Parts: sequence; structure tokens; C-alpha cells
Amino acid sequence: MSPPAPALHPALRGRLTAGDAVVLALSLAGLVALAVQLWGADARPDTALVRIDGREVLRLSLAEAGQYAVEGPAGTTRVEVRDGRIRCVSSPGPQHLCERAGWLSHAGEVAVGLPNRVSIEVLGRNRRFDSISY
Amino acid sequence: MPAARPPLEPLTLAVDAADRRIAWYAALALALHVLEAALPSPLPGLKPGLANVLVLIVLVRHGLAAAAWVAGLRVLVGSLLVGTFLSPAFLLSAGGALAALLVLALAHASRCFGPVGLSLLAAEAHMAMQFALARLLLVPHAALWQLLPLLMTAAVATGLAGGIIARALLRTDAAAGSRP
Amino acid sequence: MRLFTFAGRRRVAALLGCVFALLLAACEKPDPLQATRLLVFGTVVDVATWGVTPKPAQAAFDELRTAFESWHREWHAWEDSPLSRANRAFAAGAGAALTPDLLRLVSDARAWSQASNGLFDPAIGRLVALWGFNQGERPDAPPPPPQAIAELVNAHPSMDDLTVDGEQLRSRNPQLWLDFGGIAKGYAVDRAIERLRARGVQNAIVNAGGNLRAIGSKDGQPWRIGVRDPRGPGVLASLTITGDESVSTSGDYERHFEWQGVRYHHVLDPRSGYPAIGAVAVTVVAESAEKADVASTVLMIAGPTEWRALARALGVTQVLRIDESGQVELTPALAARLHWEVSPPPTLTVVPEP
Repeated sequence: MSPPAPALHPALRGRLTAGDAVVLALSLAGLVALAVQLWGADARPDTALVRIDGREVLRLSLAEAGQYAVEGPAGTTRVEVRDGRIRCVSSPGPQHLCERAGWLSHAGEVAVGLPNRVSIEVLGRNRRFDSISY
Repeated sequence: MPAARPPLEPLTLAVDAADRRIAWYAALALALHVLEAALPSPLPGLKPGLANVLVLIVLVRHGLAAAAWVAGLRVLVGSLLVGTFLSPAFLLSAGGALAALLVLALAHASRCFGPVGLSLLAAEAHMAMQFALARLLLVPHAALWQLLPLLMTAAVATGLAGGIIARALLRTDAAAGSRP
Repeated sequence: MRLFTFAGRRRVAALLGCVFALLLAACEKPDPLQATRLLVFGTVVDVATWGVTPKPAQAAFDELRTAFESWHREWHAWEDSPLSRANRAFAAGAGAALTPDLLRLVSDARAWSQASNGLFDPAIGRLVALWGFNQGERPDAPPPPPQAIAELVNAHPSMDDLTVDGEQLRSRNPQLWLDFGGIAKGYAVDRAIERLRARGVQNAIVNAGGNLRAIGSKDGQPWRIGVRDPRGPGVLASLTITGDESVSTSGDYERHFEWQGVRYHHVLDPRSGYPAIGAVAVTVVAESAEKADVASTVLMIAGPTEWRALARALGVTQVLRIDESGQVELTPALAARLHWEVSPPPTLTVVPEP
């Protein structure tokens, strides 16, 4: 009932056009990028980093429970991973600041034991705060 | 855009062929809408999106106005039938349909895309708008982002499937050399 | 169904190539946020930069590490350092020459001491040592005998006892012992920011033991700063910073020890010789880290009735003060921008403009 357009619209020709291919390719690439961005290793706080004097000594997945011991200048610091969290079980020093920090589970949370120069940090990109005043 | 039919004359009570066509398509879209609402879905917002395929076909065959009518009727009457009218689900559905329709209209006018590209773009726009609305209105929680890759994968899959279906149907048209 | 019967196959291939090249380029782009954690200065120093590539960022971090280490060696009040040697000279009635940084610290500290009616008093190093807060960590052991505390308080060492004698500094009071604990972190953070700026870094945060200064922004977004909850884990409130501002918090949860159920913290009131009572934490937002550091210390010492007058005297308008009963007081200027991170938010008293 309606006259066909001079050049038939590509959608009506029922072909896979170059544009279709580009859309499909971009869609798939976008999916990959989205998954990497949102599900990537950095996105979720599932890794903790244990450092002695700023040097990485342990990189632990918070998904696997376990107890670990690291040696620092003042002795042995013990850390424990359980239920997606990490804590300092014992660390040399009279004030036990590292232990007092308790369980860490959120990206950016930190426990530090100064005598042993040990720091435990939960990694992650989606940190809520860039810095904490304490 | 090729004008597929004369403009609507809403003030005349006479029902012309174009109206009947819209009613027919809208009824079909509604059937699909209700059918999809009845289907169990692992995630809210995860639907095959067959009604969108219909809108795409109407757009290609009969132009934007007809497609807008079908999409609008589908969302409005569909929500009344399923019982979600003016609920958050209705807002999501309407927003998604509107976004899909706008993207379809622009992409179709550009004459760069066939049914597969159009369907993909529409499905992605639909999902993206639904997600944005859900994030803003329903679940103001960052954890929702974790679902986005899954939802967009579903959108690409249904968009691709819908595109292939639409292409097959439109090709049948072209082969038959006729349009309903 | 022939899916790939399109024309212009090569054009599509070229397009796809471009898309993937772009994706790869995006993957290889270094993280604009570079950060490091230094265990220096007897505390934790966190430095973050935005928009600086890893190499220059690392060079800047190395410079700051060296700087903080040398300041630590220079300003330590008790271990062998230019400051501890000067302190011993003051005790012996002799003069001492100071490094340029120390001279500036002395003159800044003197000004803050005057502005705060002597509540800010870096001359009470002996009192700090008597309490044992000069060590890295103070063990839980009995507090010092009241008599010893009273003797040092009555000797009343203050910054006014220092006199300039040519190139040298002398003290009229042999009990004067300089300990810059209440200002050094802020001063160092300011110097660190200066050094970053000299390297062309426009967006950065330097946080030395909870005393921080933020400049610029992150990806066009303000820096998000959390304020620690003094009585719980995590963050009590937050605020955003763009441009250049500093936040400092003094709290009784910092260096402290407990004895027979009593908590003794390191912020000493020079008037009593005992840890300041009344406030558990004071947060100050100010234009420089030094000012925020000094003000948070002084307002922690000041009592519930005098802190507002002191804030005015120090030129500080943004203060959050939490007292022992959990009551939260804050100034209107800070109330306007502070966002509570605990629910329900604490009951607040917004005090009139100080």
C-alpha cells in the first residue's frame, strides 16, 4: 500500500549490514569491558595485602580461610583470614594496635603494627573514602 | 524516513486500515507481554523481550508513529492487565520502552543498521534505562552494579535473538514482495 | 541463514581493528590514582596522587619518604637529633643552634602557643616523657606519681621561656623540653604538599597519622574524606574537599594506655599535667594541615565552655567535638558540609558561630 523508498531500507533488505556487525562487535566488547570493570580482581574487596616495611610479603584471597605468619624486624606477626575478612592475631608491641584494629573486610581498611613495621590492607577499587582523618 | 501510511486522524471515529493494523499489532504485543510476565525469571528485569521485536518490525514496516502506538499501548494496557500500572515496575517498563523506541527511531533513521543491529541497540537501551531507573528509584545501593554485566549479557543475547527473528520475518516479507 | 553476507568486509575489518586497538589502549592506560603507604615519622603516612603517571609518582613518593625520614631524625625530641641536643643544651643553660625547619617550627609553635593562651605548649616535653608517651608505644602500666606531675607543672615551662641570642636559642627555664608532637605532623604534611606542588602535582592527598591535606580533585570529583568514629570501628562522618583544605582529628583513642580501667591518652593539659578530660575527639577543618593539627589538639584540651572562644582566637570555624557522654557539638560551617555515615546519625548540637 505504501510505495517502496527509492533505495530499499537496509532493515527491509533483511541483510546483516556493516552497521550491524559494528554494533554486535561493540556490544560484545562492551560486555567484556563491563565484566572486567565490575567483576575484575580489583572491584571487590577479596584480596588483602600484607606488607613489611612497605614491601609486599603476602597477597591473600579473603575467600580462603587460613592462618599465616610473617617475620618483621620485631618478631612474628600472625594474621588470620576467615569468612571474607582478615585480622591481626598477634604482633609484637606493647599496645597491640594491629590486633585492636579487629577484622578488616572493606576495601581500604588497614591495620598497622608499627614495631614490626607490618601493615595489612584490604584491596579494592571501590573505596568509599580517599582518606581518613583519625 | 519513508512515510508508510497517512497520518493518524484521532478525531474521526472512522476506523481505517492503519488503526486496525495498530490494534492488531498491539494485541499481539500484549499477548507477548502477558506471556513474558507469566514466565518465571531468575532476575527481575530479565525478559526475552519479544514485544520489542514486534515494535521493531512495526517500525520497519509502518514507520515511527505506528511503532510508538504499539509500544505505548503495550506498556500501558500490559501493566493494567498484569496489575503493575503506576507501580515501580511500570515506571521501569515504560522508561525502558521509551529509551528503546528513541534509540530505534534514531538508528532506523540513520539507515545504517539492519534488524540485528536495531534489535541489539533497542535491547541494550531498554536494559540500560531500566537499570538506571532501578538504581535511582528502587535500589540506591552500589551492590546493584554487580548485576549489570549479567543484565547486559542477557540484553545482548535477547537483542541478538530478537534481531535474527525479526530479520527472518522481514526477509519473508521481502521475498513475498508484499506487506500486510 | 547467511549471517555474513554484507558488503564492505574490509571496511568492517578496519573498523573492528580500530575498536580493539582502542580497547587495548584503554587497558594499557596506567591508573591515574597512584598511592603509597610509608611507615615513617613514627606513624603511617599515606600519599595519593591523581593524574600522575606511575614513574613521576614513584619519584615523588621516594622524595617524600626521604624527607619524612630526615624530619623524623631531625625533630625527634628524645633520640639523638638536632632537637634533642638542643633540649639538652637548654637544660644545661647553654645555647643551641637549630636547623631552618626547627627554627620555623619554634616560631610557628610560639605563635600558636600565644594564640591559645598557652594551651598549646610544646615546651612540656618532660611531662610527655614522664607519662611515657615519648616511646613508640606506651605499655599498660601505672600512671606517674602525682607529685612528679605537679613538680613539672609548677615549673611551668613555656615557649615564652625561649630567647633568641644571635644565631642561638636559649631557655630561661631549665625544665623546658621541646616536643613538637602536636604540630610536627601538620607542619610536615604542609611541607610535603609544597614538595608535590613543586613537582607539578596538582591533585594529591598527604595523610600523616590521620592528619591530612588534600589539594585539587580526583577525576574532576572532590576528594572524599572520612572522619573516624572515636567509639566504634569505621567512619562517623564524611566530607568532600576540592582545591586545598586540611582535616585533622585528635582523639583519646590514639596513643594511650589503660590502667585499672582508666584510659590515659597522650593529649596532655599543660595546666593540670594530666590527659585532657571532657572531649574524646575533636576534628578541625582548616586551610593548612599545621593549623588543623594544632587546633584539634588545643580544642581537645579546652573544656566544654571555653572551646568556642579558643576556636575563634585560633581563627578556626569548622570544628566537630565529641565529648565523653557521646554528645556531638559542631559549628555551623562544618554542619553545613558534614555527611553522617552512621545510622541513626548522632544527636547533634550545632553551636552558634564561634
